[in-house]
Amino acid sequence: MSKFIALTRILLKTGTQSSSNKKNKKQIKGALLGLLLIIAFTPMAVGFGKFLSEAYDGLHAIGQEAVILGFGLSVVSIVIFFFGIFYAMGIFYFSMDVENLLPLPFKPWHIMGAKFTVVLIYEYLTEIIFFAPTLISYGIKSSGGVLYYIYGVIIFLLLPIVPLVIASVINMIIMRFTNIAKNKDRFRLLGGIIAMCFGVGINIYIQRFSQNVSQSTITEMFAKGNNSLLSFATKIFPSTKIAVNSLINTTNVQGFINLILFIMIAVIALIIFIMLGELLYFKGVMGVSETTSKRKTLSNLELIKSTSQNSSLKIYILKELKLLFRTPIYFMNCVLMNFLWPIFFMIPVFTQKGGGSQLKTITKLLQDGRSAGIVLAAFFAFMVFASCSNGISTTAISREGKNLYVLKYIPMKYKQQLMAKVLSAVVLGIAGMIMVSILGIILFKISLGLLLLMLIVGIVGILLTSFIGIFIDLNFPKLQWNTEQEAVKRNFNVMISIIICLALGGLTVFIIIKFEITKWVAFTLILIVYGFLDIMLYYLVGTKGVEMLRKIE
Amino acid sequence: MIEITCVNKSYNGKYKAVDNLSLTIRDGEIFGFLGPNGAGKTTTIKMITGILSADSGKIAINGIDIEKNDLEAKKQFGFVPDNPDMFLRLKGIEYLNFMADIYEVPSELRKKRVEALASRFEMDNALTDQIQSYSHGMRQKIIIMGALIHEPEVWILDEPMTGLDPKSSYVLKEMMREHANSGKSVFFSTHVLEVAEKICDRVAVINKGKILFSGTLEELRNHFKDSGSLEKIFLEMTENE
Repeated sequence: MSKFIALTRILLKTGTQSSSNKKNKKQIKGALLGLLLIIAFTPMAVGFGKFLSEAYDGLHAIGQEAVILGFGLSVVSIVIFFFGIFYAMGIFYFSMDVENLLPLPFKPWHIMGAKFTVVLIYEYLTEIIFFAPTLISYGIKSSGGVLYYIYGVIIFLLLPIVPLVIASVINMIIMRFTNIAKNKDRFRLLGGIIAMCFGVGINIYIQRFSQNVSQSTITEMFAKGNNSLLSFATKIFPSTKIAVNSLINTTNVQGFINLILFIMIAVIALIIFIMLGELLYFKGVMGVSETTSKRKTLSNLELIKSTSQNSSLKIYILKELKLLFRTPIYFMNCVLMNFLWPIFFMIPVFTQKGGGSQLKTITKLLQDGRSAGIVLAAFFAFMVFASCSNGISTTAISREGKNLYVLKYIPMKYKQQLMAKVLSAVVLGIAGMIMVSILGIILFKISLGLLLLMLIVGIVGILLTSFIGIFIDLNFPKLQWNTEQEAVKRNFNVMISIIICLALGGLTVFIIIKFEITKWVAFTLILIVYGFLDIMLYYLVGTKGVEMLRKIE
Repeated sequence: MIEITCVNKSYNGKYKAVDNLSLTIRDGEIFGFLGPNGAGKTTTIKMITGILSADSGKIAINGIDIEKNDLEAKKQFGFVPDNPDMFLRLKGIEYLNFMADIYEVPSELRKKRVEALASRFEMDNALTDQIQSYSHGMRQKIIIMGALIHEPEVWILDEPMTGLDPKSSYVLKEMMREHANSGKSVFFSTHVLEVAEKICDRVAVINKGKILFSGTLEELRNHFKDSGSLEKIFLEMTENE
């Protein structure tokens, strides 16, 4: 047990450690960052709390208030499951520390348990955002006693276990079989994509499922009162129903029994995880970083082909892109994300029963000249969001890690190197945009004229997020990491960038809707305002950006 | 030629990693930079190559100041860092091509050089594989090849022999000698005294950021007549400080 605790502690430390240089300045920046996050999330939390308390009043009147907890627990379970697929893949398989742990005298469960605990702790952060507000506002509204909160804490701590175990087991099964392949990197990628498809698939299933219940059954359930809606809300993860039952019955023995039941389910899930893990994990993870080598000599012709001269900027961008595509973690989090967002947004359209008619409504809206201004603004905002959430430029410096010094000794201007990083993000951003556009042409029959304007504002937006991203990363580069996962996933820079970009995009849409700005005015406005910002940021990369890069040691 | 004049570097404003260091590496010589772990060797090399900037003092490579005209200065040297674990997801040939583009080597020349370097280091059949699949020694070799692809005048090598097999180590030493004989300079750090003894024209011994000795090995031996072997001299010097 002590070995397990020691290992967990080390894994957590290596994940959160920051470099020791210039501590004071870092602390100030860190505090400011915290403040920014609080400012950004407070209105959301307050709004959510208000919504919940109103919903409570409404539902309480018909005896259905527990449905709030039911939905809250279900939603957080789904979110945890979805994130869990990513986290588990990264921490269990793609993080290279496994190779250093294998020769040490650990039992398999020590390593798996420690890694599981690390993921679990990260999921608690997710829960604080998605679940804590529900739990607390329900407690206040229902004037829950001390027991309610004790139960709440226990459930809070145990809730992520079941979804995480499922996510980990899916990963373990997939990785067990992709490990047989010779080209491990590539098959691992495939495994990752399959796991992600699982995630998306389940998302679709859930949406479908929630639509399949007919109106009358819901009305019937509503009418019954007595929290009968609960079982409907918790169908996806049945164990959540037990948790809710325990929370709403804290005053009687029923609640206690349910709590014990919930704890038992968590424990059983853990046992299953350990057992399957012993069976699958080591076989899947051994040789995780092996790559194939062909040991083939280049022919003269091949050599000529592969040694043609390019400009340093071009080869630098190519290098960035190659590393993004070939490093599984970067591919999953940056490249794939870039193309997945549009698909995520499409899911509701296709899964809903009235999807067809929705499609028609959107098509109409898109072809209506009067709403073209809003369409442009919305597309701009969407591209800003999609291209900043891929984190390519926001992690461009962090991804260099301990090898950042290479940037400093090669004879290439810092400005050019920074621009190459920005442009690699722009290239992928535009690729994503082209995919969206093709979908747009096929599904919504967007006119070519409008499409052209959309592409232009899109590019302006992508440039904007890429510049903002690189500045954020220059400010808070995360260079001390042991696994690539830490560079992109546990990097707050992406979060900051998303907040800033969402705010800018949202503001743009708001202004255009509020003042009923038409197509050409909207286009000119976006082009001038953000085009000017882009030019300014480009100039700043060459001055301030270079200075910042010089200072990173 | 590398000229280091009164260079200082401290970390966190307290710990002095390099203390008023002056050194000149002349054309046509192999210069060994010796010192125990943590003596300031890598810090010095990082300042010469522009990775770190010195707190004060001046560093010039072939007369070009690394702070004032960094791009030109960087083109003068080829640098082999102490850890070869970089660009792991690139193929060997892609890495060489990347470096050649950065140093603006024309296609014709680079092809010849790739071939020559690959056959000398016996890397012909590894170039199409990702560096990730290389052993430590092979990674070291590909990094050395990348550093030499633009045929730099000045070689700066940080612990270059680590991980190399006897054959490759021999080849590298041979190449260093050829390079120095053609009138250019080689500057390398090591803590393997036998290597220094065999190939260096001059050496400097550094400890705690200060140069304790700089001169030929002959001078070093004369200086410490009673001590006997180079190892003993080295231990005596660095421990008495």
